[in-house]
Amino acid sequence: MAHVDWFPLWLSLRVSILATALVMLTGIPLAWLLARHHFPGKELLAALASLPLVLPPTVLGYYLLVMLGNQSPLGQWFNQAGIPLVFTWRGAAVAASVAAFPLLLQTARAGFESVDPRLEGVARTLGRSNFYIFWRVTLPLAMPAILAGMALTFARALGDFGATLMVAGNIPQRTQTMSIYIYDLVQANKMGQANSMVLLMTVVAVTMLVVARRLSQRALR
Amino acid sequence: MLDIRLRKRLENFTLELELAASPGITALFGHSGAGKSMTLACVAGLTRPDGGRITLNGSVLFDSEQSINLPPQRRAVGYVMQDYLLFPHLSVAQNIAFGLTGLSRPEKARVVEEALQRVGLAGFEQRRPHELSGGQQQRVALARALVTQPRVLLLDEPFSALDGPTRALLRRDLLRLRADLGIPALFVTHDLAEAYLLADRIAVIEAGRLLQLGPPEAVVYRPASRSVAELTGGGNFFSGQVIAQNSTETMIQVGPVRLTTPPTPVEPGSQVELSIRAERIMLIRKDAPVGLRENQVEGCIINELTDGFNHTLFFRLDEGQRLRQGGYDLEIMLPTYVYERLGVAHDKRWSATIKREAIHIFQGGDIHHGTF
Repeated sequence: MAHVDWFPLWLSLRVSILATALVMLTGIPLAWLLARHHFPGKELLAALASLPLVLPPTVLGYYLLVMLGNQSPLGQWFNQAGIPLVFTWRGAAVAASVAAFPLLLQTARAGFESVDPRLEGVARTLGRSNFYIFWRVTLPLAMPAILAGMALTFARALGDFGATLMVAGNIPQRTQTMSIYIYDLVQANKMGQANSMVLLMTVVAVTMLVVARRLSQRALR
Repeated sequence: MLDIRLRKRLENFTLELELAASPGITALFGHSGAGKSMTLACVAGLTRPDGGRITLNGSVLFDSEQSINLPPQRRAVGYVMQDYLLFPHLSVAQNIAFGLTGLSRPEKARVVEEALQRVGLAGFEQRRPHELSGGQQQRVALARALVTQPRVLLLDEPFSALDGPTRALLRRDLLRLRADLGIPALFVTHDLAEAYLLADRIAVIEAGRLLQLGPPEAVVYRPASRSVAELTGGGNFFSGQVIAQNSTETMIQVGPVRLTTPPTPVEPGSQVELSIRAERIMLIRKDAPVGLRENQVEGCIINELTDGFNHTLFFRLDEGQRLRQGGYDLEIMLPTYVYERLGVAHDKRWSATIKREAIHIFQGGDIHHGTF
């Protein structure tokens, strides 16, 4: 068996974990906002947030490249803060998180919407603060859906190709994630290695899908 | 004392209610969708009325003019809903302890244990709501509301999702609780028997308006208007003319029949509406001593229904006595044992006597109050 390069696997896991964390931090509050509040432009916001699902990944990556590039104010701000994004593994995580964002948003929103608002109402008559009620009632009841969304997000981030390639490039030992590495292996006709990597990725993806299904079924009960 | 004055636009009508509830149970009785549950939500602070004022023992919960709207957390209401709404992911003990603040762990455990003992569920601390029967869930919901020592209790059809025997049992529990409740309780129901059994006062509500507020027997036997009588099951509505009125009786001409009623302050010559309660019309035993009874009429039964406990007879009076056109004239209700003793099954021709107490003349119209 030829020498196996484990770097792309570790990088992919690192990118996916960071991407999932980013999505959680932004997606869960937004999902709660969309599920529990009414404000003008709400459905427009929801549609915009789902855009990564329908945009071609390269187009999405191009937008991100323009937004986060060295020419843009946002990109310059990140450069000055000492965390350059373009052509770094962090950039790959940002790209993957944007691509995977709708998956968590939609499942988490459905999760919050499935919590009977009257439960929160009763909790309020029992004298508890809205903050306490969110942590003790709303969030735990929405949690199975949120966890399912997180599993899907992680799997989607793990598999991202187009957006990551546009933002982070394909730099071996630096930004070459599994998906991109597999592409390179096939291009170089290293089918043996490509096969083992493909198998590995398939196992991870199927595992995540099973986890997500389990969790969302628990949410339905 | 809970004083409610509120206005709230709903889909089909405007809820416009003025109601004072002293300690004890006040039943809000009426059809589904009459605005009863909405009233509770407004008292609890979960829904904001469009206008009005709600005070509890003198302190303001809501006042549209002063822009006061206390959040539910600061209203000290105990709220029990039709489907109980226990927190499904928490144990029975955690559910009951949910509203207990400022207590140490052992104190909480003691309060929970006492509460469970009171509702007959000692030892159920670690169960989950889905492991409980409907009746048990209802008791936990009640215990959860009561441990916070509310100043008013709101019960929104707490028995309607239960089967018959469980319902009877829990109604008796609530009757026991009523004795040492000491706070006003609003009890929403569309079941008259339940309201009559449990309530100290019944507030009859129809399409967002209070039609009558009074003790159960007043609402059922002395309804203020035909709308109330229809809701409280008084059948047999007629209009007639007052012929004479004195201190012992009032005479009303209804079609060809002259009815004697208890003395009622109505003007001779005026038109009145009256109702005759179906269960207070008696069939006269065939072997009874001969003699004319009060308000005696003759006729035959043209149709009948039974629910097993009572028989409803549709009684058509003889020509010359008819009170209506076509169909039947009077609805008569007999308990099954009377029906059987009289042998009504085989004999459809009867004389009946309408006890004067059975006749109720409506004095006032429906209560209407102005906008505020």
